[in-house]
Amino acid sequence: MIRMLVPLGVFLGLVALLLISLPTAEQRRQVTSPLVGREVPNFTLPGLHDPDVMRSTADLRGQPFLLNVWGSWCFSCRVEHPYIERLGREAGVPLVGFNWRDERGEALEWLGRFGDAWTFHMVDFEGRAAIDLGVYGAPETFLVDHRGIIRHKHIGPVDQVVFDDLMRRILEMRTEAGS
Amino acid sequence: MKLFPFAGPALGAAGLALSLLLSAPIGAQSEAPASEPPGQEQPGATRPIEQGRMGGMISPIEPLPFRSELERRRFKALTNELRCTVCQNESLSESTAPLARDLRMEVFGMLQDNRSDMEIRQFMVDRYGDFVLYRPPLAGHTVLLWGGPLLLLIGGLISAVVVIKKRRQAL
Repeated sequence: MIRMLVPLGVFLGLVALLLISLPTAEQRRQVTSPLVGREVPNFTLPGLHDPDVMRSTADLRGQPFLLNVWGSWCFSCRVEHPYIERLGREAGVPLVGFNWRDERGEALEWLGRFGDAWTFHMVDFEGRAAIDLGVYGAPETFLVDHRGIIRHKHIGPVDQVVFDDLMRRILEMRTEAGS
Repeated sequence: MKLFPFAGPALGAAGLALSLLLSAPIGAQSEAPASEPPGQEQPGATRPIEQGRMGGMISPIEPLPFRSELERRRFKALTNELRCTVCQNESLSESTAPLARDLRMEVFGMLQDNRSDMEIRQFMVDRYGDFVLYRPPLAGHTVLLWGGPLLLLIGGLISAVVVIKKRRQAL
């Protein structure tokens, strides 16, 4: 009789295993970039409004900043745009736009229509700097501290919850930079 | 020793359970950021055809100006074992995603710069994590992944021997 319960026991074990492992699959998908905790890659790119000005991530050393990957072709960037504007106004740190694989004309038109709260933009037309940043898609938002270490990366659009979380992290970084 | 009537199915089920348990680290490897996260987008279809560094469109079938047959083979091997980071289970060589195209060009450029296969793989891992490798490295968290099949084989052989011996005795 007890022997007949063995397959049942194995079955229940399986069920338990699946109950434990399946919900965490979603978390695993959200795995962070290997770049988090490392220094932000150094690259120099032209500006968007000012194509003649070359800007480098190294110029920002010494202060925390936000880097937001966007493109005029990216609908989700339009969705998150109100929150990006708020970050630009309220975060108190530079908000760098990383204009990824875009056309200058379309990008400028997009900014004209929706608003430009970024401190400045860097244009990566060929997408090579994006590879160094480990960009998967747009939008993505990076938090870099005053030592140039990438502290956090958010994949996907910013909403109210993400905005609050980002603001909290930025405050932390600002406190660190100040002390 | 008496014949254990449920030995076969029970061992089979145990094997299945074990393999599922072992697949946990596999899942961690392969599922990482497998799909595009909700709301994220790829540059792409509506845009004009991108000009690669070689001045032409880079697609899986596009012939690249390799310097030798060996280089062409290395390119093929590398792009076959590197995962396209934005697609579901496609290698870099198969994918038509713009990012995959960029990454193929990056691999091609590194080959032109005489970088080793190791260096090229490391370049990708530094940016996208172990997830880009179809063959993850042997490390602490992947020991079960690599050793699991061997464990299952040994377990299966042992149970087969035990079952066969019991049946012999029962005859």
